[in-house]
Amino acid sequence: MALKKHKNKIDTMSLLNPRRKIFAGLLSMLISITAAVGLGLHLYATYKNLPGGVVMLEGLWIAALLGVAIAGVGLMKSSKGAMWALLGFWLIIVIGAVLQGFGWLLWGEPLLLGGMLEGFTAVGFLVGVLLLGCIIVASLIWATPHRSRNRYGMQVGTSIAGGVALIFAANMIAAAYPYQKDIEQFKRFGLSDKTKQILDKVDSPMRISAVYTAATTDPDTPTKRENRTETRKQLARVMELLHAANRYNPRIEVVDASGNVERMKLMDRIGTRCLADSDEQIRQLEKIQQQLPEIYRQLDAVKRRWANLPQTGYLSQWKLASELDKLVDAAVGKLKAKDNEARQKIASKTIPDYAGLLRGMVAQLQETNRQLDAFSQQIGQLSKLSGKIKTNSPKIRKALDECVAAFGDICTTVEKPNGKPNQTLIKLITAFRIASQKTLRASNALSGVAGANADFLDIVSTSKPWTVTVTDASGKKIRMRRNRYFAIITKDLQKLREDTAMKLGDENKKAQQKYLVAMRKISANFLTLIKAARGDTEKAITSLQNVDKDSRAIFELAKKRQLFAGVNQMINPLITNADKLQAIGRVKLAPELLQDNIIVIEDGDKFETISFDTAWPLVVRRSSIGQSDHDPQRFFNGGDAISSRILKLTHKKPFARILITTANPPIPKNAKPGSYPVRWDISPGELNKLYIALAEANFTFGEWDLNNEYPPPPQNENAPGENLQTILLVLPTGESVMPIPGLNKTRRDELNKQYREKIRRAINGGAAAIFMGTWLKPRSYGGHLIPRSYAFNPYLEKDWGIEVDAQYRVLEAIPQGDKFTINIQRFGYMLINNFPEAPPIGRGLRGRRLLWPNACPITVEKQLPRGVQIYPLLTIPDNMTNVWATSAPQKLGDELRQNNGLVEPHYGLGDISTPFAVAVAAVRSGDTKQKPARIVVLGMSGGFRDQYLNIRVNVTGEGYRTEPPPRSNPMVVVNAAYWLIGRDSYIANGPGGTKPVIAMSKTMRSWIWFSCVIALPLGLLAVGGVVMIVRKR
Amino acid sequence: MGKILTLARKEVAGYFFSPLGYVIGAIFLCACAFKFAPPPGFWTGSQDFFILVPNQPASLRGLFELMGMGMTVIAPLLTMKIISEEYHSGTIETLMTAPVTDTQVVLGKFLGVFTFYLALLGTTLIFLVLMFIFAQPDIGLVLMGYLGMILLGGAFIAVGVFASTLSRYQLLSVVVGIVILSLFMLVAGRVSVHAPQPWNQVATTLDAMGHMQKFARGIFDTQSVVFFLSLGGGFLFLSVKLLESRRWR
Repeated sequence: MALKKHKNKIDTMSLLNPRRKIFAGLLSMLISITAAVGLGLHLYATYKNLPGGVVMLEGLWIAALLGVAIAGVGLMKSSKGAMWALLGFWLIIVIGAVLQGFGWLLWGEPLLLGGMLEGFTAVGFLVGVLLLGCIIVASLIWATPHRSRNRYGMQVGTSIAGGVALIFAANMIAAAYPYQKDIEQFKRFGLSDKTKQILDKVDSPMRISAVYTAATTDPDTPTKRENRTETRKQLARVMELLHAANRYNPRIEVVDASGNVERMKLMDRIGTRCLADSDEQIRQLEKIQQQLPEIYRQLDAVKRRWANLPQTGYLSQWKLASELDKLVDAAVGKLKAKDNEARQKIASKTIPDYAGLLRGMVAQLQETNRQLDAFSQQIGQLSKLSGKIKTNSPKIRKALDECVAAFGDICTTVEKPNGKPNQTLIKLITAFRIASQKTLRASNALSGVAGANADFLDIVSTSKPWTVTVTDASGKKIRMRRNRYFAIITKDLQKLREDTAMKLGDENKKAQQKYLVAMRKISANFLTLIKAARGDTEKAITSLQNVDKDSRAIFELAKKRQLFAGVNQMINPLITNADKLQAIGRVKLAPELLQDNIIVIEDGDKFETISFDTAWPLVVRRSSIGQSDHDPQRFFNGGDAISSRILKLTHKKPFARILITTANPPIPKNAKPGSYPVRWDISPGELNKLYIALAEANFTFGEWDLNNEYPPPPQNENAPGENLQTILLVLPTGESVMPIPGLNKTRRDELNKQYREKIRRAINGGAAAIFMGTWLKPRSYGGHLIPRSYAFNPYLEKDWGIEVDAQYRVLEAIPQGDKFTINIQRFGYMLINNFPEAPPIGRGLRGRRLLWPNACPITVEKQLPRGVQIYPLLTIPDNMTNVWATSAPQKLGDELRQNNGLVEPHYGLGDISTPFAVAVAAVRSGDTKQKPARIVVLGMSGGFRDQYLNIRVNVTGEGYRTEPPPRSNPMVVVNAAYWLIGRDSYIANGPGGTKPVIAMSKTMRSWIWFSCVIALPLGLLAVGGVVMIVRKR
Repeated sequence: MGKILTLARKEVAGYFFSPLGYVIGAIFLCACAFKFAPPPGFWTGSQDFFILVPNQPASLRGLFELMGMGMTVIAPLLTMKIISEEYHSGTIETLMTAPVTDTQVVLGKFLGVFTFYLALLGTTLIFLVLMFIFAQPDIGLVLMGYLGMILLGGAFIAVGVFASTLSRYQLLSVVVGIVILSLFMLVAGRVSVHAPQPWNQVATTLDAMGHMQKFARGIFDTQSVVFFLSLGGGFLFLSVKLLESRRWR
């Protein structure tokens, strides 16, 4: 009772210190009203320009501040709720201010209220708020009676707030000064040795920004939410990696540019650089855009000039005006479309690809020029027509006259009855024969109206005078060439001749007489028809050989190629100037910058980009062949992808020269165009992804056509006085199987021998080489498929003891009983990544997703040449009995059809069984004749083609889906290049070899499962039971 | 310190002499064992789920992640009775009048549960032994994994102590404990993915599973250490304040 009484007494708010209570309430009220009014004015002035979220946030703040003002009034009226509300509000403000100030100390420049306050103003404002908050909190506590419940509560609340602030502060310090160490054996989640080496050399400030923009870049994602989670985690991992780089070398500044502010800052910086780099392109683009209206006017003037040509003029005999009309309209339309596209892209917020826009615009101008030029050439041809017709018209006239005379003979024959119809019919047959011959001759003469050149006949044929309109039996009007018209008459005459010949055998003379009477009328009609045709033709010839004054003037211009001089004069300088501009690499990067989820590395005025997927692949495969395609376990081999870009930015001097070496016979001088096909198994133009990877790894490039001499190596800037080391990237070449025009087999073999000798000299002289082998598809010759062997085998066998079995294709099948089925996916995308530890070429790639098509085995001789050592790089082990190298992959289809979808290796017919290598490395010690050398021979080079590395992999199984292409494939060549020049330390370490759990019998597995899942928990429960029993006793 | 140890000893004995500790321990071990050892006829497609799979890389990472996740439930179960039961049985008044401070009570009880938890964790060493017999696991990863589990366990038990301080009903304590721990284990991870900046960064800091995964990957990160220590310390401090509040409420 006494306690209750005491409680009531303590709870009485009237015991609050009146002066402190009023002070705290009034101060809260004044501050909150002032802040609410300030925010309200700001909102009123700027709400149209503010995002919806900010407006809502400011609205909520105003509401909260008004609530605080009301609470202030309540406190002055001794409201208990108002007191607690004020305490809560001001404690939050104080903690927020403390943490904000702490954040400034740790990370960044003072900025407040979305950038309205900065520097000392912001600090002053924050300190002011903090002081006021502390004063109000203190007043509230001191306003409560000493040793009262309220005083206790207030103190506990404040201490909890302090504790929370302390926890936050501790975590903020830990975040600001992180220490991270990868204790794991293989350091998979830290920086690789290669990355550290590269980072060591960064001696000037460099900024790396991670830009997260989208949930996923994978179009085949199961659900957006799931992938958002994955890609967000990917961002976290990428940031961890970047922070590790920052800790290793503090000159590297790391920015998470996923937020709008940082992203816009980044785009602004890069945009400024792009603008500076593409200054000339922009100027040229603007110039074209300025001149486009004048070009349109010129084209319009051309159209009008043609439309105003006299209707009776020479040129009006063709539909040239409407043709030009269409041409000009289409050209103007396309130019306007390009112009609009350029304007839209320039006006957009993203960084435009100015070089690309300029290229597009110039291409359209070139197309316009080309079309006008073609038209002009057509007019030029037309100008020659009248002369040709003049030359040929006498022949035509003569033929036509003979034709008319022959028809006259027909009429004469039938108009003189002599009572012997048989004789008349015989004469008529002869007359028809002669007439048909003459008509055919006239038709031929008309075909040659413009000479022997068919192009000119085409021009004549499209003219109005040379077109005849006739009505067929059904009354339909048909337009045809004049010569064709005569040809049809010839056929009619032949038909009449046959009919007449049939009448000759008729014994009824009356019928014969009747036929002759009928023929009299027909012959007269034919004569009229042929005379009219002759008259029309004469008119046509006259009209086509007489050129009027206006047309002649146009022809003169066309001959001088000045028909569209006005337009050409405007377009040509624009095209020439644009062609002079060199491509700017930076500007080409603009599309990459627009991709989702990228890392941007900025070094001074240069930058490089890299995708999250490259830096931290989401889906990687386990390091062995023949595993499941679905393996969520991640392997990561350090920041090699990021460091490659850094290396490219910082290391200006290349490590070595990659010489793209090709061996195709030269085109014979007497070869007809198109009759000499250059057939690549892998062409140098389809290895761009590989070149990019090599360029990023700091290699420079050259080309060596083996028909020419070895290009001398340039100076090595890293070691003055020495030449840059050369690595030959030898593209696959097969031995010839068939003669082709201008090159018989003997000559081809001779050439191959020369190629091999040149390569031998280059390697003996100190060059290294990567021989790119692949399964060489058999070529069809004489109805048979002829297998092809690798053209460099004689050299490789003699000097290195290596043979590329290019006529064999490695095949991975799926066991089914004692035979196998073919999985179409494995057929095209065979996973092989079981690289050995040494040489280190593949050690970092063992966990990577490397897929290979059309691999061929590589055989190593038992007796190697002196001083040569061979190291297998990729080997199919002998326990992989479902893999073999088939000599006749083209016969697999037949075998599958005949054996119900099953195949088997035919070792008796030459198929190669496991084990065999598909890639080897070789080292040769030097002597007096030759320098020490290293080569790498790859039997799976089809996997480096752009087509293979750009197209997503179709995955069949549970429904249809696709997976990213095997992007890591080029790293095999990159690492091989590092090894060949002795820079092993640049090869990424990779995941290392986590040793797998050893194989165990099923009984052992059962025992372990039973012991762990059943016996162990039950044992623990049994121990508990025993303890309970003992305790009870 | 002596009083804290006395209280802790009493608490540990309570676990070892009551069936609850053994039942919880058996459940924990059974869950871990299920993850560790694949059943004899397991489906090859599910091999990634298990740890001791022949010809697969030997890594206990998955086990540590599972144990971390399991602690969301195990920690509140272990701590549900430590203060709630005192409230329920009325012995709290005796404890309050005893010559021990609120801080000593909370620390003593925390230490008791934590010791029992360490013993529980010790039973999982059997898996490590098996791993060493059949493979060569990464020592660094194992050490970091156990360090992570110790830190996570300490922090989660502190949360459990706080939940137990809130109510006299043990079931309610368990529910509150699981809800609070789920905020750190599940919600924070999700928020860190979906929330805009800077909230996603705050959520990333609070994502206990993310911190545990770092340890499970073999990474020692002071940020994670500070997080677990401050989480544990913070909730113990709140527990003390909550207990204190009984004096003036």
